Amino acid sequence: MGGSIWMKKSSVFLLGLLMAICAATQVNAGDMYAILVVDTEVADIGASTRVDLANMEREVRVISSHAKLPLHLRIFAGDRFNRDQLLDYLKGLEVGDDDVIFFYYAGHGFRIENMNTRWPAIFFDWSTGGLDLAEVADILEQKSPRMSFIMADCCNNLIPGIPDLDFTKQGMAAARSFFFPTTEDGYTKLFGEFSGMIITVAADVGDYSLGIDSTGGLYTQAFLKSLHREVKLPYPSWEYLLQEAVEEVVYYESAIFEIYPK
Amino acid sequence: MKKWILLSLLGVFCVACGGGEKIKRGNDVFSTVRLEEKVGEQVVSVLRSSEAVQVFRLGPPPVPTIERLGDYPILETGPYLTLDQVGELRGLLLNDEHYQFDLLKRCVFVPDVGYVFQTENDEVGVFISFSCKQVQICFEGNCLRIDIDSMLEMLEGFSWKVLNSNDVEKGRTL
Repeated sequence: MGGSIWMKKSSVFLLGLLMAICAATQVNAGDMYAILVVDTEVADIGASTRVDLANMEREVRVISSHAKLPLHLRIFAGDRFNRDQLLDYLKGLEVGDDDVIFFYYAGHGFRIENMNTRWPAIFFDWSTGGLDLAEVADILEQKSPRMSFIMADCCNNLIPGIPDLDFTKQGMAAARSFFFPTTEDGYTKLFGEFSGMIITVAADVGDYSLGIDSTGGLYTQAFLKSLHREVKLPYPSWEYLLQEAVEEVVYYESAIFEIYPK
Repeated sequence: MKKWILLSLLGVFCVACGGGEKIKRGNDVFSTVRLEEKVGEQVVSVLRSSEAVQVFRLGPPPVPTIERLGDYPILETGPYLTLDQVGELRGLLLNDEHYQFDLLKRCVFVPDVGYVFQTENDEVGVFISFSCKQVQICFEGNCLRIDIDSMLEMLEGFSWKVLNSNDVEKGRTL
């Protein structure tokens, strides 16, 4: 009887210790807020962006699992691919200073003459207009997460003859692995330890992003392939990862990236 | 002698059979097999056999009040093309090598020029975006986009030439 009580106390103590360790680990790593914005219903490129959505949804789950970042996933696709809903969500999003925000867009992109950054704008429709990726970056930066990763697989070419598209209305199949990588350290180093902001897009100013119906966007494929390669290395680097992704598609499109460490 | 006659007849027969897949311009024969796979035989047939082709200068969609071609406002109604111009346009459009079938740009399609190919029963709209380097082919309410990087300059030059053409009066048939 006495032994049983001791066993119970011991079990409770061990359980408490385990929970404390888990809680401490999670507090240190923060959470991951993944926001996937994909124009899946558009007639011309919808088939390829649907592949991108499937690939990226799988990937954020892999990242969350391996980097031990509890996942808060929000998908703006189908009839939820809506500028106002997205902006409301971004503005209302509350994150801690150790959290990671992962923002991904696949769909039509463009730029107009009065845009003064290298980043393109997301295209919703002619009545709604666009959303400058730089504005997304500004909104996310104001929330001061530990890390923001912003990626857009879309064109960045100038649409001539359009003075304004109402930006401020408020105002390679190899990447399609179905197996999780064998090591998780790389994910922890890339997503669990980096502090700062990363922005990468499939096309530099004036250039185009390309997609294939069966395998998705070329740059999304290249990014995932490069990510899967990099996480297996003992010292993965965002610089190398993105440089390799950029070089992977260099004959087709002029992908670019910027890394802003804190 | 009989052998040569037979071979000649066979040649004529083959050309006739292959009429749905190839177009002849000068001494060159161009394949349209992949184009037919992409847009359908009927569309290619209309492009090949249309009795009248008219050109329009188009603009971006968000202008609700003016006359439209498909979803796009007409900025200028151009002329019907002459037979020579139709032949030149067919030479550009009916050639698989002028299209990039496997890749598609993620680009906001804003057409600059539209062509309407008409037969007695059918109409096919061909919209061209110079900024996207893409063509959008529409038939019976369905539209499909294809990248046209390799023929863009030729098609752009041709389009401005016919829009500025004084060969025929605007709106007149062939």
